Amino acid sequence: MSDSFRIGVREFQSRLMVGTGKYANDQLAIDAIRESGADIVTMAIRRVNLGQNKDESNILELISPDEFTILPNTAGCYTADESVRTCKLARELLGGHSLVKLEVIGDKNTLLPDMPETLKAAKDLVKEGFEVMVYCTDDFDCSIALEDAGCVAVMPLAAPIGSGRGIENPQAIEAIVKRIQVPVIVDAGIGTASDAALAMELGCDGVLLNTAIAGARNPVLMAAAMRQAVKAGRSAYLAGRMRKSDQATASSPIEGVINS
Amino acid sequence: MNDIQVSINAESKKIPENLNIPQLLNFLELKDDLLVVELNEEVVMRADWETTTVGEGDKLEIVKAIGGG
Repeated sequence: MSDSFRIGVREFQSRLMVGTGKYANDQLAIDAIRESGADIVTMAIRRVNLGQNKDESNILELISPDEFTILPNTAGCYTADESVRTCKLARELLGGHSLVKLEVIGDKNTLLPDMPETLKAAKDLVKEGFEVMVYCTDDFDCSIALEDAGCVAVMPLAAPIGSGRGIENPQAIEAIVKRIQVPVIVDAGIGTASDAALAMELGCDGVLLNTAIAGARNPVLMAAAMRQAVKAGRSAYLAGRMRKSDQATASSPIEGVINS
Repeated sequence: MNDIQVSINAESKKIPENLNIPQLLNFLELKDDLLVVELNEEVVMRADWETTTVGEGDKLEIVKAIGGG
């Protein structure tokens, strides 16, 4: 059964989006990413090393825009202006491609997003013609403001970046899902497969993660687990879970028990 | 030929004058694909590389994609 979804002008099959950071080597990264089944793959934009080896490989040669939708991020940016500059560089690097992941960090220790700067950057980027997928806190009003600013996806964190703590405030995520019309994607803080499944059971449209796969003992196996978890969680959400009850209810009929 | 002083990726560098972008990348021994150049905080479109010349005091950024989340 096809269960594709739309972000901005593009249609995607996989609801799992993955990062390319922190892998031991590029080959392990591409193996895990292929196993994850992801269509959307994030990358960062950084200065080249001057005096680098001319034959040094470039990640875009291995993880190609021909195979994946590359989602450049603004990781490491602390101001709206820096993040807008980074997006413009990424757009030129990727031949005019306008889909970006906006993240404006507020503090180098918590890596929590700076929401006033994020909102300012989102407005600037939308004005510049970018399709903005925005990393944000799980704050309800911030999510609404970002959707109103024209972002094509709202991406609240499960927990701080790289913490692997899972969804710390499921009620907040659920409230955002119920209110926001554009896709809601849990981004950051996922630790293991059940966290990804829970995000999807809450009604999120997708999950974006990196360290949960790259930091696993066996990244390729974890990539498969994440692919299955996102599918399972999505199916459970569509199926509609049973009501929780305070009391036990027998699954087998009471009548006809031999000793009655 | 005279040298000029520029800033490339926040490093102060002496380069020959009158280099256009492909010549600059060649001078820096960088492969000219899969990277982007910013001159004084404005992206230089690839179509403008040949006609864009680097001058004294210019601030350049040369960036590429790397692994990230």
